[in-house]
Amino acid sequence: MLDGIFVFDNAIHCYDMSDENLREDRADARYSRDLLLAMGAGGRWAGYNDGSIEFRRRWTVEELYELVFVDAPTDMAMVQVVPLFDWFKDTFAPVLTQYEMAQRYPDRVLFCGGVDPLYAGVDAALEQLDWQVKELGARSIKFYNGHVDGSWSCDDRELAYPLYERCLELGITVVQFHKGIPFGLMDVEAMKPNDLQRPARDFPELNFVIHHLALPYFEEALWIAARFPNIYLSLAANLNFTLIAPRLVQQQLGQLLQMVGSEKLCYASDAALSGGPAPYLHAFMELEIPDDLRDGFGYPQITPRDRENILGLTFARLMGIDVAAKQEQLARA
Amino acid sequence: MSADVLERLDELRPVLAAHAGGIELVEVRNGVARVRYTGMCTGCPLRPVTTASTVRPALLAVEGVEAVEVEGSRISAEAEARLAVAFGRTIRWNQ
Repeated sequence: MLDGIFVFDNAIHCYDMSDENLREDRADARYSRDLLLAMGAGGRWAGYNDGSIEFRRRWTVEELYELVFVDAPTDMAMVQVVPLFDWFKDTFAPVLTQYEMAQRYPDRVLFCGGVDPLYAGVDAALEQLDWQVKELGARSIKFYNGHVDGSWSCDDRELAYPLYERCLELGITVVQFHKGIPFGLMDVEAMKPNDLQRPARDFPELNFVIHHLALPYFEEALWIAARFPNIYLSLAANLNFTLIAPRLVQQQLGQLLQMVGSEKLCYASDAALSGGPAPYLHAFMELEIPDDLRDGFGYPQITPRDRENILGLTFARLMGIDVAAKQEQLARA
Repeated sequence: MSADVLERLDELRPVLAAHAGGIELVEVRNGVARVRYTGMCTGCPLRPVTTASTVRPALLAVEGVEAVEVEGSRISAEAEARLAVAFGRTIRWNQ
Protein backbone atom coordinates (compact mmCIF):
# COMPACT_ATOMS: atom_id res chain seq x y z
CA MET A 1 0.00 0.00 0.00
CA LEU A 2 1.18 3.46 -0.82
CA ASP A 3 -0.57 6.23 1.11
CA GLY A 4 -3.59 3.94 1.38
CA ILE A 5 -3.52 3.09 -2.34
CA PHE A 6 -3.53 -0.51 -3.55
CA VAL A 7 -0.49 -1.04 -5.79
CA PHE A 8 -0.76 -3.72 -8.48
CA ASP A 9 2.35 -3.80 -10.69
CA ASN A 10 1.22 -4.89 -14.15
CA ALA A 11 4.65 -6.22 -15.24
CA ILE A 12 7.70 -7.57 -13.50
CA HIS A 13 10.17 -10.00 -15.03
CA CYS A 14 12.51 -12.53 -13.47
CA TYR A 15 15.14 -12.18 -16.17
CA ASP A 16 17.89 -14.49 -17.29
CA MET A 17 20.56 -12.21 -18.72
CA SER A 18 23.38 -14.60 -17.90
CA ASP A 19 26.09 -15.55 -20.37
CA GLU A 20 24.86 -19.15 -20.11
CA ASN A 21 21.48 -18.15 -21.56
CA LEU A 22 22.99 -16.52 -24.67
CA ARG A 23 22.58 -18.39 -27.96
CA GLU A 24 25.92 -19.50 -29.37
CA ASP A 25 24.52 -19.57 -32.93
CA ARG A 26 23.73 -15.86 -32.90
CA ALA A 27 26.71 -13.58 -33.44
CA ASP A 28 24.67 -10.61 -32.18
CA ALA A 29 23.51 -12.29 -28.96
CA ARG A 30 26.05 -10.82 -26.55
CA TYR A 31 25.96 -7.38 -28.15
CA SER A 32 22.14 -7.29 -28.06
CA ARG A 33 22.00 -8.53 -24.46
CA ASP A 34 24.44 -5.78 -23.52
CA LEU A 35 22.26 -3.20 -25.30
CA LEU A 36 19.32 -4.39 -23.20
CA LEU A 37 21.41 -4.03 -20.07
CA ALA A 38 22.50 -0.53 -21.10
CA MET A 39 18.89 0.44 -21.80
CA GLY A 40 17.89 -0.75 -18.33
CA ALA A 41 20.76 1.14 -16.75
CA GLY A 42 19.72 4.29 -18.59
CA GLY A 43 16.28 4.20 -17.00
CA ARG A 44 17.28 3.19 -13.50
CA TRP A 45 17.43 5.64 -10.64
CA ALA A 46 20.17 6.31 -8.14
CA GLY A 47 20.69 3.44 -5.77
CA TYR A 48 20.24 0.85 -8.49
CA ASN A 49 23.15 1.94 -10.67
CA ASP A 50 25.94 2.16 -8.10
CA GLY A 51 27.31 -1.25 -9.00
CA SER A 52 25.94 -2.97 -5.90
CA ILE A 53 23.45 -4.96 -7.97
CA GLU A 54 24.64 -7.20 -10.84
CA PHE A 55 22.07 -7.32 -13.62
CA ARG A 56 24.03 -9.51 -16.07
CA ARG A 57 22.84 -12.76 -14.54
CA ARG A 58 19.91 -15.01 -13.83
CA TRP A 59 17.64 -13.41 -11.23
CA THR A 60 16.06 -15.53 -8.54
CA VAL A 61 12.44 -15.21 -7.51
CA GLU A 62 13.49 -14.31 -3.97
CA GLU A 63 15.62 -11.41 -5.17
CA LEU A 64 12.84 -10.07 -7.36
CA TYR A 65 10.37 -10.42 -4.50
CA GLU A 66 12.69 -8.41 -2.26
CA LEU A 67 13.02 -5.65 -4.86
CA VAL A 68 9.29 -5.37 -5.60
CA PHE A 69 7.50 -6.29 -2.38
CA VAL A 70 9.96 -5.65 0.46
CA ASP A 71 11.83 -2.58 -0.76
CA ALA A 72 8.73 -1.07 -2.39
CA PRO A 73 5.10 -0.72 -1.28
CA THR A 74 3.72 -3.16 -3.86
CA ASP A 75 0.67 -5.27 -2.99
CA MET A 76 0.41 -7.46 -6.10
CA ALA A 77 2.28 -7.95 -9.35
CA MET A 78 2.02 -9.92 -12.55
CA VAL A 79 5.24 -11.71 -13.43
CA GLN A 80 5.49 -11.91 -17.21
CA VAL A 81 7.32 -14.23 -19.57
CA VAL A 82 9.35 -12.40 -22.22
CA PRO A 83 9.09 -14.80 -25.19
CA LEU A 84 12.13 -13.43 -27.01
CA PHE A 85 14.23 -16.22 -28.44
CA ASP A 86 16.29 -14.00 -30.73
CA TRP A 87 19.36 -14.04 -28.52
CA PHE A 88 18.38 -16.27 -25.60
CA LYS A 89 18.20 -20.05 -25.35
CA ASP A 90 15.41 -20.00 -22.80
CA THR A 91 13.93 -16.58 -23.57
CA PHE A 92 14.73 -13.29 -21.89
CA ALA A 93 12.44 -14.11 -18.92
CA PRO A 94 11.85 -17.88 -18.97
CA VAL A 95 8.46 -19.52 -18.57
CA LEU A 96 9.32 -21.79 -15.68
CA THR A 97 11.07 -19.07 -13.67
CA GLN A 98 8.04 -16.78 -13.93
CA TYR A 99 5.80 -19.70 -13.01
CA GLU A 100 8.03 -20.47 -10.03
CA MET A 101 7.59 -16.93 -8.74
CA ALA A 102 3.80 -17.13 -8.95
CA GLN A 103 3.89 -20.51 -7.22
CA ARG A 104 6.15 -19.23 -4.46
CA TYR A 105 4.03 -16.13 -3.73
CA PRO A 106 0.49 -17.06 -4.80
CA ASP A 107 -1.23 -14.36 -2.73
CA ARG A 108 0.69 -11.57 -4.40
CA VAL A 109 1.90 -12.74 -7.80
CA LEU A 110 -0.03 -13.71 -10.92
CA PHE A 111 1.62 -15.58 -13.77
CA CYS A 112 1.51 -14.24 -17.32
CA GLY A 113 2.65 -16.71 -19.98
CA GLY A 114 4.10 -15.91 -23.36
CA VAL A 115 4.37 -17.54 -26.77
CA ASP A 116 5.56 -16.67 -30.26
CA PRO A 117 3.97 -18.13 -33.41
CA LEU A 118 7.20 -17.98 -35.41
CA TYR A 119 9.52 -19.61 -32.91
CA ALA A 120 8.40 -23.17 -33.61
CA GLY A 121 5.21 -22.53 -35.59
CA VAL A 122 1.61 -21.79 -34.75
CA ASP A 123 0.76 -25.36 -33.68
CA ALA A 124 3.63 -25.41 -31.20
CA ALA A 125 2.57 -22.01 -29.88
CA LEU A 126 -0.96 -23.32 -29.38
CA GLU A 127 0.40 -26.33 -27.49
CA GLN A 128 2.45 -23.98 -25.33
CA LEU A 129 -0.65 -21.88 -24.68
CA ASP A 130 -2.59 -24.94 -23.55
CA TRP A 131 0.23 -25.99 -21.25
CA GLN A 132 0.89 -22.56 -19.78
CA VAL A 133 -2.78 -21.93 -19.04
CA LYS A 134 -3.99 -25.39 -18.04
CA GLU A 135 -0.92 -26.69 -16.22
CA LEU A 136 0.88 -23.53 -15.09
CA GLY A 137 -2.15 -21.37 -14.39
CA ALA A 138 -1.32 -18.43 -16.67
CA ARG A 139 -3.86 -15.64 -16.21
CA SER A 140 -2.76 -13.61 -19.23
CA ILE A 141 -0.46 -14.01 -22.24
CA LYS A 142 2.33 -11.70 -23.43
CA PHE A 143 3.34 -11.32 -27.05
CA TYR A 144 6.47 -9.80 -28.64
CA ASN A 145 5.82 -9.50 -32.34
CA GLY A 146 8.99 -7.53 -33.12
CA HIS A 147 12.23 -9.36 -33.81
CA VAL A 148 15.51 -8.66 -35.58
CA ASP A 149 14.43 -11.20 -38.19
CA GLY A 150 10.97 -12.67 -38.38
CA SER A 151 8.72 -9.96 -37.03
CA TRP A 152 5.04 -10.81 -37.34
CA SER A 153 1.98 -8.65 -37.35
CA CYS A 154 -0.57 -8.77 -34.55
CA ASP A 155 -3.41 -8.62 -37.08
CA ASP A 156 -2.13 -11.60 -39.08
CA ARG A 157 -5.10 -13.92 -39.48
CA GLU A 158 -2.89 -16.98 -39.99
CA LEU A 159 -0.30 -16.39 -37.28
CA ALA A 160 -1.96 -14.32 -34.59
CA TYR A 161 -5.70 -14.97 -34.75
CA PRO A 162 -5.48 -18.68 -33.83
CA LEU A 163 -3.65 -17.63 -30.67
CA TYR A 164 -6.35 -15.13 -29.71
CA GLU A 165 -9.05 -17.70 -30.41
CA ARG A 166 -7.29 -20.26 -28.24
CA CYS A 167 -6.85 -17.70 -25.46
CA LEU A 168 -10.59 -17.14 -25.36
CA GLU A 169 -11.27 -20.88 -25.41
CA LEU A 170 -8.96 -21.23 -22.43
CA GLY A 171 -10.68 -18.44 -20.53
CA ILE A 172 -7.96 -15.84 -21.04
CA THR A 173 -9.49 -12.39 -21.53
CA VAL A 174 -6.37 -10.21 -21.24
CA VAL A 175 -3.58 -10.34 -23.81
CA GLN A 176 -0.58 -8.04 -23.65
CA PHE A 177 1.85 -6.68 -26.19
CA HIS A 178 5.31 -5.20 -26.01
CA LYS A 179 4.98 -2.18 -28.28
CA GLY A 180 7.51 0.54 -28.95
CA ILE A 181 10.92 0.42 -27.20
CA PRO A 182 12.69 -1.79 -29.77
CA PHE A 183 15.30 -4.12 -28.31
CA GLY A 184 18.75 -4.20 -29.83
CA LEU A 185 18.71 -3.36 -33.53
CA MET A 186 15.13 -4.45 -34.26
CA ASP A 187 13.15 -2.44 -36.80
CA VAL A 188 11.25 0.14 -34.81
CA GLU A 189 8.28 0.05 -37.22
CA ALA A 190 7.49 -3.49 -36.12
CA MET A 191 6.65 -2.05 -32.72
CA LYS A 192 3.81 0.21 -33.90
CA PRO A 193 0.54 -0.45 -32.05
CA ASN A 194 -1.54 0.05 -35.20
CA ASP A 195 -1.83 -3.68 -35.87
CA LEU A 196 -3.91 -4.14 -32.71
CA GLN A 197 -6.89 -2.28 -34.13
CA ARG A 198 -8.23 -5.06 -36.34
CA PRO A 199 -7.95 -7.75 -33.65
CA ALA A 200 -9.57 -5.38 -31.15
CA ARG A 201 -12.51 -5.07 -33.56
CA ASP A 202 -12.61 -8.78 -34.35
CA PHE A 203 -12.23 -9.99 -30.74
CA PRO A 204 -14.40 -7.66 -28.65
CA GLU A 205 -14.39 -10.15 -25.73
CA LEU A 206 -10.60 -9.90 -25.50
CA ASN A 207 -8.84 -7.01 -23.75
CA PHE A 208 -5.59 -5.84 -25.33
CA VAL A 209 -2.89 -4.13 -23.23
CA ILE A 210 -0.28 -2.03 -25.04
CA HIS A 211 2.95 -1.67 -23.06
CA HIS A 212 5.42 1.22 -22.87
CA LEU A 213 2.91 3.67 -24.46
CA ALA A 214 4.37 2.25 -27.71
CA LEU A 215 7.12 4.90 -27.67
CA PRO A 216 7.97 6.51 -30.06
CA TYR A 217 4.42 5.84 -31.33
CA PHE A 218 2.74 7.59 -28.43
CA GLU A 219 0.20 9.47 -30.53
CA GLU A 220 -0.92 6.26 -32.21
CA ALA A 221 -1.28 4.47 -28.89
CA LEU A 222 -3.22 7.43 -27.49
CA TRP A 223 -5.70 7.60 -30.35
CA ILE A 224 -6.13 3.85 -30.46
CA ALA A 225 -6.75 3.43 -26.72
CA ALA A 226 -9.13 6.41 -26.72
CA ARG A 227 -11.33 4.84 -29.39
CA PHE A 228 -11.26 1.12 -28.63
CA PRO A 229 -13.10 0.12 -25.47
CA ASN A 230 -11.05 -3.07 -25.17
CA ILE A 231 -7.58 -1.52 -25.54
CA TYR A 232 -5.69 -0.50 -22.40
CA LEU A 233 -2.30 1.12 -21.87
CA SER A 234 0.42 -0.07 -19.52
CA LEU A 235 2.83 2.63 -18.35
CA ALA A 236 5.54 -0.02 -18.30
CA ALA A 237 8.70 1.75 -17.15
CA ASN A 238 7.30 5.04 -18.48
CA LEU A 239 7.17 6.57 -15.00
CA ASN A 240 10.93 6.00 -14.72
CA PHE A 241 11.34 9.12 -16.82
CA THR A 242 9.81 11.30 -14.10
CA LEU A 243 13.25 12.24 -12.79
CA ILE A 244 15.02 12.41 -16.15
CA ALA A 245 12.31 14.33 -18.03
CA PRO A 246 9.41 15.26 -15.76
CA ARG A 247 7.96 17.56 -18.38
CA LEU A 248 7.69 14.65 -20.83
CA VAL A 249 5.83 12.51 -18.30
CA GLN A 250 3.52 15.40 -17.41
CA GLN A 251 2.68 15.92 -21.09
CA GLN A 252 2.08 12.23 -21.68
CA LEU A 253 -0.05 11.79 -18.57
CA GLY A 254 -1.94 15.00 -19.30
CA GLN A 255 -2.86 13.78 -22.77
CA LEU A 256 -3.74 10.33 -21.50
CA LEU A 257 -6.06 11.68 -18.80
CA GLN A 258 -7.64 14.05 -21.31
CA MET A 259 -8.24 11.49 -24.06
CA VAL A 260 -8.18 7.99 -22.56
CA GLY A 261 -8.93 8.27 -18.83
CA SER A 262 -7.26 6.60 -15.90
CA GLU A 263 -9.79 3.73 -16.05
CA LYS A 264 -7.66 2.35 -18.89
CA LEU A 265 -4.17 3.08 -17.56
CA CYS A 266 -2.03 0.61 -15.62
CA TYR A 267 1.23 1.13 -13.80
CA ALA A 268 4.09 -1.32 -14.42
CA SER A 269 7.64 -1.18 -13.09
CA ASP A 270 9.36 -3.66 -15.40
CA ALA A 271 11.55 -4.61 -12.44
CA ALA A 272 14.13 -6.04 -12.20
CA LEU A 273 15.81 -4.51 -15.27
CA SER A 274 14.59 -1.04 -14.38
CA GLY A 275 15.66 -1.44 -10.74
CA GLY A 276 13.32 -1.40 -7.76
CA PRO A 277 10.02 0.45 -8.19
CA ALA A 278 10.02 2.43 -4.92
CA PRO A 279 11.55 5.67 -6.33
CA TYR A 280 9.13 5.78 -9.28
CA LEU A 281 6.13 5.13 -7.08
CA HIS A 282 7.01 7.93 -4.68
CA ALA A 283 7.77 10.30 -7.56
CA PHE A 284 4.41 9.51 -9.16
CA MET A 285 2.60 10.38 -5.93
CA GLU A 286 4.19 13.82 -6.06
CA LEU A 287 3.69 14.36 -9.78
CA GLU A 288 1.24 17.05 -10.85
CA ILE A 289 0.23 18.65 -14.12
CA PRO A 290 1.67 22.19 -13.98
CA ASP A 291 -0.36 25.35 -14.49
CA ASP A 292 0.82 26.15 -18.00
CA LEU A 293 -0.02 22.68 -19.34
CA ARG A 294 -3.45 22.77 -17.72
CA ASP A 295 -4.18 26.20 -19.10
CA GLY A 296 -2.53 25.90 -22.51
CA PHE A 297 -3.41 22.32 -23.39
CA GLY A 298 -6.43 21.74 -21.19
CA TYR A 299 -4.78 18.75 -19.50
CA PRO A 300 -6.64 17.86 -16.31
CA GLN A 301 -4.93 17.69 -12.94
CA ILE A 302 -4.13 14.20 -11.64
CA THR A 303 -6.76 13.36 -9.03
CA PRO A 304 -6.49 10.89 -6.12
CA ARG A 305 -8.85 8.63 -8.07
CA ASP A 306 -6.50 8.74 -11.09
CA ARG A 307 -3.61 7.63 -8.89
CA GLU A 308 -5.71 4.79 -7.49
CA ASN A 309 -6.78 3.64 -10.94
CA ILE A 310 -3.31 3.83 -12.45
CA LEU A 311 -1.49 2.23 -9.52
CA GLY A 312 -3.82 -0.70 -9.13
CA LEU A 313 -7.56 -0.49 -9.65
CA THR A 314 -7.55 -0.59 -13.45
CA PHE A 315 -5.47 -3.74 -13.65
CA ALA A 316 -7.29 -5.29 -10.70
CA ARG A 317 -10.58 -4.82 -12.57
CA LEU A 318 -9.08 -6.38 -15.69
CA MET A 319 -7.86 -9.40 -13.73
CA GLY A 320 -11.04 -9.75 -11.68
CA ILE A 321 -9.34 -9.04 -8.36
CA ASP A 322 -11.60 -7.95 -5.49
CA VAL A 323 -9.33 -5.28 -4.05
CA ALA A 324 -11.07 -4.94 -0.68
CA ALA A 325 -10.97 -8.71 -0.13
CA LYS A 326 -7.35 -8.86 -1.27
CA GLN A 327 -6.33 -6.07 1.08
CA GLU A 328 -7.98 -7.91 3.97
CA GLN A 329 -6.23 -11.13 3.00
CA LEU A 330 -2.82 -9.45 2.78
CA ALA A 331 -3.36 -7.64 6.09
CA ARG A 332 -4.08 -10.96 7.82
CA ALA A 333 -1.00 -12.67 6.36
CA MET B 1 -32.72 9.81 -9.75
CA SER B 2 -31.06 7.31 -12.10
CA ALA B 3 -34.35 6.86 -13.95
CA ASP B 4 -34.60 10.60 -14.52
CA VAL B 5 -31.03 10.72 -15.77
CA LEU B 6 -31.68 7.82 -18.12
CA GLU B 7 -34.76 9.57 -19.43
CA ARG B 8 -32.75 12.71 -20.07
CA LEU B 9 -30.07 10.71 -21.85
CA ASP B 10 -32.77 9.26 -24.10
CA GLU B 11 -33.70 12.81 -25.03
CA LEU B 12 -30.08 13.53 -25.89
CA ARG B 13 -29.60 10.49 -28.11
CA PRO B 14 -30.87 12.12 -31.33
CA VAL B 15 -28.41 14.96 -30.80
CA LEU B 16 -25.50 12.58 -30.36
CA ALA B 17 -26.71 10.46 -33.26
CA ALA B 18 -25.97 13.48 -35.43
CA HIS B 19 -22.31 12.83 -34.48
CA ALA B 20 -22.79 9.11 -35.27
CA GLY B 21 -22.28 8.57 -31.57
CA GLY B 22 -24.16 7.84 -28.41
CA ILE B 23 -24.03 8.01 -24.64
CA GLU B 24 -24.63 5.65 -21.74
CA LEU B 25 -24.89 6.02 -18.00
CA VAL B 26 -22.09 4.55 -15.91
CA GLU B 27 -23.53 5.46 -12.51
CA VAL B 28 -25.14 8.15 -10.40
CA ARG B 29 -23.55 8.46 -7.00
CA ASN B 30 -23.64 11.25 -4.43
CA GLY B 31 -25.16 13.63 -6.95
CA VAL B 32 -22.51 12.92 -9.59
CA ALA B 33 -23.77 11.53 -12.88
CA ARG B 34 -21.02 9.61 -14.63
CA VAL B 35 -21.50 8.90 -18.33
CA ARG B 36 -19.58 7.31 -21.16
CA TYR B 37 -19.67 8.19 -24.85
CA THR B 38 -20.19 5.44 -27.42
CA GLY B 39 -20.01 5.06 -31.19
CA MET B 40 -18.01 7.67 -33.04
CA CYS B 41 -17.98 9.85 -29.91
CA THR B 42 -15.93 7.23 -28.02
CA GLY B 43 -12.46 8.63 -28.57
CA CYS B 44 -13.35 12.00 -30.06
CA PRO B 45 -11.07 14.83 -28.90
CA LEU B 46 -14.07 17.17 -29.00
CA ARG B 47 -15.95 15.29 -26.28
CA PRO B 48 -15.34 18.14 -23.82
CA VAL B 49 -17.16 20.51 -26.16
CA THR B 50 -20.19 18.24 -26.46
CA THR B 51 -20.12 17.73 -22.71
CA ALA B 52 -19.99 21.43 -21.91
CA SER B 53 -22.44 22.55 -24.56
CA THR B 54 -25.04 19.79 -24.44
CA VAL B 55 -24.65 16.90 -22.02
CA ARG B 56 -23.70 18.71 -18.80
CA PRO B 57 -26.41 21.39 -19.00
CA ALA B 58 -29.00 18.72 -19.79
CA LEU B 59 -28.05 16.51 -16.87
CA LEU B 60 -27.57 19.34 -14.40
CA ALA B 61 -31.18 20.25 -15.11
CA VAL B 62 -32.21 16.89 -13.60
CA GLU B 63 -33.13 17.34 -9.96
CA GLY B 64 -30.43 15.99 -7.66
CA VAL B 65 -27.61 16.01 -10.21
CA GLU B 66 -24.88 18.31 -8.96
CA ALA B 67 -22.01 17.34 -11.25
CA VAL B 68 -21.40 15.47 -14.48
CA GLU B 69 -18.30 13.42 -15.21
CA VAL B 70 -17.34 11.64 -18.41
CA GLU B 71 -15.39 8.40 -18.26
CA GLY B 72 -12.27 8.60 -20.42
CA SER B 73 -12.45 12.32 -21.08
CA ARG B 74 -11.46 15.16 -18.81
CA ILE B 75 -10.01 18.61 -19.31
CA SER B 76 -8.48 21.10 -16.93
CA ALA B 77 -10.52 23.42 -14.73
CA GLU B 78 -9.10 26.31 -16.77
CA ALA B 79 -10.40 24.84 -20.03
CA GLU B 80 -13.76 23.97 -18.43
CA ALA B 81 -14.12 27.54 -17.29
CA ARG B 82 -13.47 28.85 -20.81
CA LEU B 83 -16.09 26.52 -22.26
CA ALA B 84 -18.60 27.38 -19.56
CA VAL B 85 -18.23 31.06 -20.32
CA ALA B 86 -18.48 30.51 -24.07
CA PHE B 87 -21.49 28.20 -23.97
CA GLY B 88 -23.11 29.88 -21.00
CA ARG B 89 -23.88 32.81 -23.29
CA THR B 90 -25.89 30.75 -25.71
CA ILE B 91 -26.97 27.41 -24.23
CA ARG B 92 -29.90 27.10 -21.85
CA TRP B 93 -31.52 23.74 -21.29
CA ASN B 94 -35.32 23.79 -21.04
CA GLN B 95 -35.45 27.52 -21.57
